[in-house]
Amino acid sequence: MKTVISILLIFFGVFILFSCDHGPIGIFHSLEVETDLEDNDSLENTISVGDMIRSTNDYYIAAGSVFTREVSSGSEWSKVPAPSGTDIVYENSTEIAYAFSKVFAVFSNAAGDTSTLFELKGEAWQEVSALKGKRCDVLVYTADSTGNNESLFISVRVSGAYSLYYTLDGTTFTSVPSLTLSRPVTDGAWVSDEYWLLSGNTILQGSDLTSISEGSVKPDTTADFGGIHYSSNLSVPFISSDDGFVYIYTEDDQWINNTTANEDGFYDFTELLIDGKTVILVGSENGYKEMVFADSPGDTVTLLEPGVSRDSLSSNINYINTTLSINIIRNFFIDRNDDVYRIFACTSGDGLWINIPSGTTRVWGRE
Amino acid sequence: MRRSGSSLLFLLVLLLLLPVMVFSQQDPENGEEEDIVTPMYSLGDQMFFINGGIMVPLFFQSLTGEVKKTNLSIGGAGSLAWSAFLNNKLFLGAELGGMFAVSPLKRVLIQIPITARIGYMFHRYPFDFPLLFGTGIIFTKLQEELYVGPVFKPGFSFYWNITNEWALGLNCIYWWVPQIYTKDLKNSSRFGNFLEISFSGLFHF
Repeated sequence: MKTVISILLIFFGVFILFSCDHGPIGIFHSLEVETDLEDNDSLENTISVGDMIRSTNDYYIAAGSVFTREVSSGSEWSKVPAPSGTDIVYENSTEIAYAFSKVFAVFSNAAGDTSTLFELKGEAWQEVSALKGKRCDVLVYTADSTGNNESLFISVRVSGAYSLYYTLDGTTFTSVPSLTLSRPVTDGAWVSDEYWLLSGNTILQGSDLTSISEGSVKPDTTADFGGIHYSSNLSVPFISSDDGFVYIYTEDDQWINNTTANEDGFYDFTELLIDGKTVILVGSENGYKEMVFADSPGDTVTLLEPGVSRDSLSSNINYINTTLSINIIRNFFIDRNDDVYRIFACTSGDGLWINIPSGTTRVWGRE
Repeated sequence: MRRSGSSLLFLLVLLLLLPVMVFSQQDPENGEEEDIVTPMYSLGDQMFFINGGIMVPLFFQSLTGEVKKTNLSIGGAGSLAWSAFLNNKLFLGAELGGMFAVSPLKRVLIQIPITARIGYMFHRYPFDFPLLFGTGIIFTKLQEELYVGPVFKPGFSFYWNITNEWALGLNCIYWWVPQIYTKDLKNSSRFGNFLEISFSGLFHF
């Protein structure tokens, strides 16, 4: 009898031992959350998408070339011809912005020694004359939650450093005086009637763009910041860092963050409402994480694994089983159409992904 | 068409009655009919099985009882098994099997069970009807993920002994595969439910 019991104990011990080392989701569970992968098929699945915007009727992405498609479902992507009329072959664009009802994009030449801001007029690109000859870099658009207080910022490279230009009407471009940055402004938000702009580990803050400067309200970290987002539902700003933290500046004027650093650095945010809860997504070097708030943030930041955690809401289907969960997501774009959220994930080398509702859950597919 | 249907029905009835006719013999001395049952197998008789067929993924069940689709295609299953009789009806043995099925994202689920099994065989010459129960460990592989856990396989078979050594038949085996995770993955625990339907070749020796 003892022998039989010993054999049974060894038997169950062996399989428990083997079953201890696994990925973020069980095998059967991962099959349960899998469906056919929808693919628009008109866009290469290996492109790197820098950013995405929407005009009135069309989507645009900057992915080397600029691609566009109509907002309506099932529309096919097509390439917007690069700027012409110069002797430079413009082919590298990762920056695009929609501000003041205009589409702006930065194109650089193959050698990377010129980078110029263009505005799309009709179907042709026209160089923005106010910044002619300047080496434009990152475009950052900010507005308040109602879409007012629009601003477009352009980091301009000057002898190894950066100056910052802005426009408040899409026509007049002005330089922020007496401001030299070692890093370009990579993201920004309109936070409680103030501009918050990220530049490396610095946050530029101020309500007056003629005197914006490094602010005093900042998370206690030396890491570079990855993205900033002001939650209109929670009325608090979120800031991510490339050492794996998400910081929230609470209404009590306190910074809170996740207690354990994420293995991968964080980038851009987006926000949506699901079942009355505020859902914040943050892109990372390996997919994205999710934060769910039924109410105001508490004392710490809890990061959920989408499609795995029972509490996650943004995607139950085709996230953890696809390459989206292991690739870099630098930017999100969210489009609310007839109360239906479409989330787009801009990846590095894995194309553009779209997240749409599917029954009682949400599903990821490829564009 | 109708005539051929009637013929088929007649043949089926004949096949079903055949074992009864074989087992029922007339006692020549007193003229009464009595069953004479001759043991077909005895201690030490052995069997070797080769099975191949389809695997029907049925459903996954969570620890809370929630039932979800597997999203898997109908797959394939096969196995080799050996058994030895303890008496005319009871036999013990072991089985090495395998199955595969494909997910919507073209991921291939592979499961390899190694089981000990016990069977109880009903005889109706030339037919055998074994009831089977197997348990052991199963290696479940999906891409880079591997899970080793228990498996329980109840089922039944039907065999037609075409010679003294060879029989052909059909298996219907239920695979119950618990995947129990702990700690952070507790919510990922599932009970896998599959149905194997396979043809079988049986060799007596």
